[in-house]
This record gives sequence, structure tokens and C-alpha cells, in this order.
Amino acid sequence: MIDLSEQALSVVEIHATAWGLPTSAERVAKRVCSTMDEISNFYDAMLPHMEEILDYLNQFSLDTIPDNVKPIAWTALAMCEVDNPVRWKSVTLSSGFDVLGMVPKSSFYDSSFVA
Amino acid sequence: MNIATNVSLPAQGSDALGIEKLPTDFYVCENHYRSELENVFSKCWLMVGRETDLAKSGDFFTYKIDALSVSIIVVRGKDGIIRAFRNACTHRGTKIVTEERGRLRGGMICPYHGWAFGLDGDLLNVPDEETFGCLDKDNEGLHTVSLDKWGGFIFINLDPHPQWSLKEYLAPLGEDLIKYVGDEQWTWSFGWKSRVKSNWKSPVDAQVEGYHITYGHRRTISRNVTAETTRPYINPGSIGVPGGHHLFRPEKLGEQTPIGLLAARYGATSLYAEPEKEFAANNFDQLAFSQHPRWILDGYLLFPNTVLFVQKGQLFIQRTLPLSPHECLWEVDFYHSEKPQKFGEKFNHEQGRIQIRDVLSEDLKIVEGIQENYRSGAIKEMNLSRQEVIIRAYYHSIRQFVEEGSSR
Ligand code: FES
Ligand SMILES: [Fe+2]
Repeated sequence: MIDLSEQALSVVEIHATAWGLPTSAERVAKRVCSTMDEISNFYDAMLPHMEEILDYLNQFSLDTIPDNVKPIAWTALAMCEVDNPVRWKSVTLSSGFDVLGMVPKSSFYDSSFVA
Repeated sequence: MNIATNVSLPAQGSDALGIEKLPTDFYVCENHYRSELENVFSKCWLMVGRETDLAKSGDFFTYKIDALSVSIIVVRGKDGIIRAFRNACTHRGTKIVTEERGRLRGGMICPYHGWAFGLDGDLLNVPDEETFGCLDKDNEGLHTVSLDKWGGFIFINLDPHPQWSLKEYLAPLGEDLIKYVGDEQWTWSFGWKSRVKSNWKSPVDAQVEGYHITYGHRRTISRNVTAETTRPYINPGSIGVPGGHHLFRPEKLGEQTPIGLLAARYGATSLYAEPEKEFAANNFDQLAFSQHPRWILDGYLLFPNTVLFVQKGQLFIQRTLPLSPHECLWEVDFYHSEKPQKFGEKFNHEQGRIQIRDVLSEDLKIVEGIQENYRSGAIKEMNLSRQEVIIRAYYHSIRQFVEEGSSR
């Protein structure tokens, strides 16, 4: 087991408080309510360490990632959420439907709405 | 089938169904809408679930079409047979189950007065039966709904005597696809639902033509899929599958983001990047074009409300249901052949799903705007290119049902 370098660890730790959220739904909500500056800061700080972070996390089997490591995994996943905003230079797309209106389903059969 | 790497792509659509403009009133007209409910949704096969989700006897799920106030129970019986019933007690009409899925022990008991039905729908027990003047229990079973299966998916038909068997209906999809899609490897992995302020057909339109990709998705997907690399075709004479398309990557990929490239190392959920690791998928190699180095996916319109996208290791299904002429319930669901084992694979899934979500969000925004312009009467006719030929085929199928319905 190779540990994360101190640099990488300190960067993730700084950003895990804000971005290390357990579910996709929480991460998209976080993205949508962030400013472009917050998103860019997060992205720019994390990007140089992403390869290392993924290599580190890949040492575990997905089901047994230890609890104290999980926030690192969630923070890495949040990078997927901010990838497009960084490219667009915009938190959301004016040409897009409200992504929060696309509600995650719990199964194929989870079709109903509380209007 | 082995397709050489330099094989030319199929034609970019056709004019076979004519070139005239089509009216837009069938997206907004109340009468037309009611006729669709009566003649399309009440006569066609609709995808409602997956066989493997009903693994054990007593496993059930429900399916609702709110616009028709229809609620259906689909349940596996003790004999292993999957059946569909109206979710309606024959005593006085109470809904028997209220959950969207679950497991019934032994049978179904109506929550109002306790009539008990077997998993095969038979009425087994009536409390205080002697107080009913005349009750023929043998004729008071739950009302059966037509059900059949294709490629592991369960379809229902509200018509007690469907005009076509499901096999005939989906015949253009072919045996190889049944084998691929029907394999037990597929597990549901995620999905979204939304209420969209458009006619139920418009999100279908958006998934069956590639003409809009180049411009409409210029901020998302068009770096790797374009109008030019989408190849639509129609199935003349088929009601169930009016058409489909093949999607290829362009010869030269557009610019990738570092995150996209990183995700591509671990899997193939994203359409953005050429994956470095592919999913293992049974029965894949037989599919037409699967060996083409630039092939991404095949899409099929399953009339009337479903679009099925087939990829290596990933299935993606969009379904819509009408709520009014101007609003629909929209759902997408993803199935995967492999469960992520390592974080990298989860990262790949997450990246792929977010990219697809953002692409779909562009489609949904567009169709809501279209609805307003049809509704206001600003646009009474639409122009369709050869690349949008499936929309023409779709229109003709809808018309056929509505006209047959009105002449009955
Ligand atoms: S309505 Fe079902 S038992 Fe009375
Ligand atoms: Fe689209």
C-alpha cells in the first residue's frame, strides 16, 4: 500500500470539507450553488494530483475503502462534476435544463413524482 | 460479422418518406392528444421492466400511466410465470399494492376488505363470503393485462388482444440483439426522472436524429459525435421499430479534458473519449458494426415512447409518458454489464453519467422551448432533413394509429 504524498493529501484535505460529499446528488447541488471562482480554485488545486489520487484509491477494493479514506474518494468524484463548468467557464449552461430538476432514480421502477 | 476497419459508413438518412413539411399540431392539439392516449398508449407494447428484477415468486413491480389513470401490477407467480394485472380489486376497485416494487408473500390481499388473490390473479378468499347474494369467485380474479418479453425486458399492452405479438412488433431488432440485450449480465446502475414541459414525443425526436448534435451539443458531446457520424435508417412497414441509427466517432477526435482522459483509462461510460479499457460484454461481437473501430452505439426507436441505446457494456433507455399535451414524465435508465470493482471504474461511471446528464439537459431545454412555439401557433409546420427521417417515420406511425382509431 503506497500512501498519498503529503502535498496531495494536504490539497485533498483542504477541499474535502466543501467538496467531499457522499452522493452524486449532493455534489451536483454543491456545484450549482458554487461560484465560478470556487469551482476553479478547487479544480486547479486538485488537477495536478488527480492521477496520484486515483492510483492511491485503486489500491482498495471499492467496497472496502476505509471510512477515513472515503472523503478523498468523494472529493475526487466531485472533479467530474466541475469538469464541464471549468470548460464552459460557467457554473451552469444557459442552454441547459436545470440539472437539479433531473432527479436521481433509485431503480428502474422509481418513476413517480411528488408534484 | 466482421467489418473491416475501412468500411464506409451507411447512408446519412433518406428521402424515402417524402420531403414535405409536417404539421406541428400533433404536438399540441388536445383532440390529437386524447386520441394518442386511446389509440397509441392503449394499443401498443410498452416497456415496463426487466425479468431479472422479478427473480423469485412473489416479486412484483408496478407501472403507472397517470394520463390514463392506469396502474398495473407485474408479478412472478409460484409457477415462475410473470403476469400483469390491473392493480384493482374486483370487489370495489381498491388498489391492491401501493409500493413501486417489492415481494408478496403467497398472494395479494386487498387493503380495504381483505379479499385475497393468488399470485396468478385468482380470487382465493372473500371474508364473510356468505353475505354476498351471488358471487362467482371463479370469475372475479384480477383483470389480466397482456404481457410479453423481449431481450430480458418486460412489455405490457393495454389491449387485451394486441394487434401484433411483441415478437412481430420488435422483429426488426433481430436475434443477435435479443441475445446481447437479453443476457443476465445487465444490472440497472442509475437513472434520472423529470417532469418536462414538452409533448411526450419531443424528447423522443431529440434522441432519434443526429442533425442537432453538431450545433445543439457544441458545448458537450459534439467533439466526439457529430451529425455527420450519426447514420439514421428507417424500417418501412414496421410499427414497433420505425427506425434507428448508428453512431460513430469522427476520424479525428476533438479535444479532451484531462478529467475525461483520466476517466477513459478505466472504462467506457463516456461518449467523449475513446476508452482505453472496454467493458466485457457477452454476445457482443455478433452485433452489426460492433467491430467497426469508430462505432459508439446503436439507437432504436421502440414505438411509441422508448429509445434504446446499445453500447458495449452499457444500455441506455429513455422513456416518456404523457401528462398533458404540453407536459411529460421523462426517464432515463442505465444498465451495465460490469459492476465497478475499483475506484477508477466508479470514477469512470461518474464522469460518464455527468457528461450524459449535461447532454440530456441540453435536449430537454430545447424541447421545452419548441413546445411553447408550437403551442402559441408561431410554428405550424416543421421542416425535416434526410438526417431526421426517423421523425418522419415516427410521425407516420402515430398518424396511422390515430386515423385507424378515428375510423373505428
Ligand atoms: S375493495 Fe378490495 S376487498 Fe373491498
Ligand atoms: Fe441531443
